[in-house]
Amino acid sequence: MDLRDNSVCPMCESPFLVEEQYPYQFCPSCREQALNRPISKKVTFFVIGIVIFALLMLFRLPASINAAVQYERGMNSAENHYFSDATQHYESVLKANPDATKVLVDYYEVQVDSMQLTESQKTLDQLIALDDSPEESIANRVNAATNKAETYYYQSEALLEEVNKNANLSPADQILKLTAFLKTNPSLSGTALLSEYLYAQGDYKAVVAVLEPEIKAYPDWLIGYNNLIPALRNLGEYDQAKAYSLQFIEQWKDNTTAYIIAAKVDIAREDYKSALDIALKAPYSKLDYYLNGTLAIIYSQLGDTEKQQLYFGAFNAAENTDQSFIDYVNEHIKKSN
Amino acid sequence: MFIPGQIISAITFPGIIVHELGHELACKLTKTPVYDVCYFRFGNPSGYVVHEPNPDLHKNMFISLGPFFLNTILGIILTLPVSIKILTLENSDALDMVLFWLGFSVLMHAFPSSGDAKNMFKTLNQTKGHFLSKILYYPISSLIFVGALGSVVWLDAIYGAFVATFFPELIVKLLA
Repeated sequence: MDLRDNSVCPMCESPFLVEEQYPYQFCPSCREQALNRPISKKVTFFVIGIVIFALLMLFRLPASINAAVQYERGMNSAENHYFSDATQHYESVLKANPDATKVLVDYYEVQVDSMQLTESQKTLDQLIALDDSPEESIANRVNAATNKAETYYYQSEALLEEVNKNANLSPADQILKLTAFLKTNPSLSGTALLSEYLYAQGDYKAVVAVLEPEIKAYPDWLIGYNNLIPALRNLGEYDQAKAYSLQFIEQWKDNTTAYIIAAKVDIAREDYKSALDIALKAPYSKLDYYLNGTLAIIYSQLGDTEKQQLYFGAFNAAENTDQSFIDYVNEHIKKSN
Repeated sequence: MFIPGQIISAITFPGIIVHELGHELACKLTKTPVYDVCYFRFGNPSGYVVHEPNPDLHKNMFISLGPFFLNTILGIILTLPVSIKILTLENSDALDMVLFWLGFSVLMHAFPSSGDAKNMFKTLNQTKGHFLSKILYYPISSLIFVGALGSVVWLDAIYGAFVATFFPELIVKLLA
């Protein structure tokens, strides 16, 4: 219909007074009616439905954003080797989204990377229970992480059997037997065990000889650093020990143990400023008696009595069961006093 | 892949209803008489609002652009939490998918139709307004017109997908 040319109102077809100011020539009552035209009831209900959905979405928004932000932070931390931080972020996401497969896979990888083996096994069980036929990319990632855990940390049945068989032998014979076993059944977990035996016997050169090639081949085999660095430190190879300490820290940047091991190298060579620099970079916890003890030693050597007392107090207050470390701290603090 | 517009309209009908509602609400806000409204139908156009042209250029443009703002804002609210869950965490349930469809439908129909775009040009040519306002509105109208024509190559869907994914990504990146 041509709304401009009718001589009657196109809506009610009644003659009307022409209102020149309007482009369409409707009668005033129809114009008034059009102006106050109600929105249809069906559409009103539809809109109410959409508004309810929108409100529901707005209600869910903070939790959704928080989960995504935590996840993003977790991924960034994991990518930069801050595995403890990544673990916390992923746990926070999984609390609200326990069946988010992708997050569980990331969580599993980080747990393996940071040697949380018991927890990683639980996560793997959860993943299997959640989806027994996952996408190929997910399956590949889980398999890669599982292979890493098995290669780096799990002790095979044959190895455990060998260790149990030789349990009653002298330490020297145990070392001989394990060395022979590893020649035919090489494994990183076996090498780690051998290095423990050798370290306990004070054969630091042998510890280095056993561990160094493996660390060179697998720089992210974290357990290897635990004996390699102290062995080098005890041999007086401080520069090499420090270099491996920094490599250890690079592999897992928020691992307090790595910083303490590095600080202990500097303490051994009496470079207390450097020891303090590295120890202060460790994530601090009042409950961590290793870190508090190490800081107490460093401050006592630097003559800062106030801070020495502060950290020594925290060291004593923390639940402390490692007698060798208690002796180590007491000995150093006594020496400085 | 060619999918007839009517099928797309049927699948995304909530967006069309919100689109027409956007025009109608804009008319109400600008006190413009509305003579006929069709929120959804199987035909071309899938919905329409017949209203008297408002003598004020800005109000007329507001009526034409009303759905763009309403659909975009409502679409963002509807898709944001679900998009985050689906895209970032790759974790969704049936309700999430329904809400995503609803939000995406609303976003997809944010762009004014080619009929709306033509009306905008008509309004710009016929309604009195400040020269500078017209200079401002011509590029906007042209953009809208291109957007409306672009629905042939799925530009409306691309816009919906872009908004539904871009905003969640942006917010998460900014806050992380």
